[in-house]
Amino acid sequence: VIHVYAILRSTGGPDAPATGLGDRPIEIRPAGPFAAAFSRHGQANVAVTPDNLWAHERVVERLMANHTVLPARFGTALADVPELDAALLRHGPRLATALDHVEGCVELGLRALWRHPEDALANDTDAPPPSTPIHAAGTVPGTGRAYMEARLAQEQRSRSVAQEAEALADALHAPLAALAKDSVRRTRASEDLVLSAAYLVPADTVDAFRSQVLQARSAHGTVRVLCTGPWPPYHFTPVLDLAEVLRAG
Amino acid sequence: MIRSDDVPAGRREQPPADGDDPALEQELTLLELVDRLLDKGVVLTGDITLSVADVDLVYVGLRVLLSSVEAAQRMGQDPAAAGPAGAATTGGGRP
Repeated sequence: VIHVYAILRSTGGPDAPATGLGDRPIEIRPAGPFAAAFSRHGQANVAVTPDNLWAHERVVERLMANHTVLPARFGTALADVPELDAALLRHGPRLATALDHVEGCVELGLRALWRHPEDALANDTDAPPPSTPIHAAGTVPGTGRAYMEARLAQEQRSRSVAQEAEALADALHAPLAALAKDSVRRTRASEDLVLSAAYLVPADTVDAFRSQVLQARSAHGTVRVLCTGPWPPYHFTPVLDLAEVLRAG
Repeated sequence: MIRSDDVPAGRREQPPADGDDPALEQELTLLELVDRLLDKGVVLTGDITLSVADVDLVYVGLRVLLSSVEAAQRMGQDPAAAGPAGAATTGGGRP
């Protein structure tokens, strides 16, 4: 079984790292206009551990230093080299288009964490947020009307916080997206995570991108901004036709 | 959580933010890695077999459907046939 790390432009003599998962030697297989980096293993399954994830990542990064690469998803295993050749041939046009798209670029990741100041304060003091009414003004506590009005006020406040978070995310994202060739905003996974995004940035624009991140930190003091990278362009690889992949696999 | 020396130098958050918690940053960096390696990247083959905590999982296609190998085999050797019932969905494919 072979474990695939990345597809790259075939440029003669790629500088591959010596070893990958399980300290197995990395081999480069040219196939037409592409090449694939892989290692040979006794079994198809691979354990999801931080060490193994970083081992895969290091191989792709090493290749990325000198070549245009499309990283393979972790755990991509094929029976043998002929199967790899066939897959590269089958998906050639999509892979070529994707390699053109990411050429000269790296991926940068961004996560922005934010809590509404009133929520943060309530968390610190264990007191209810100042704007959260226990009962609405002018109503008698403990009555059904008071309860419903309090629920309505909470709902309105929650909607207002969500809108504020969305506006904040837009304000952070827009100037960064303007520096990128392409970008992907991920679904908001939690209330605190106002923005999670990946940017395909030309290599010579990375410094400008980081400066913009610093500016965003200064401009939005209540937001914690984490910028990671450069990564291989994981978010900008082609989605191959599932039915075709399953048929062939 | 990942040890600091497991994080390649080029992958650490740059530039560091004043007052930020390095432990939180490392945790988020590992999350960023997991998001990418397990949910993105080219899929050349129909199924991917991963092992999590000694349980082999069959990872099917582009929508990231996970099923244990045992469950997939019960369903007739075809991991795709395991379907959502008895399988754990770890998230959608591309956004």
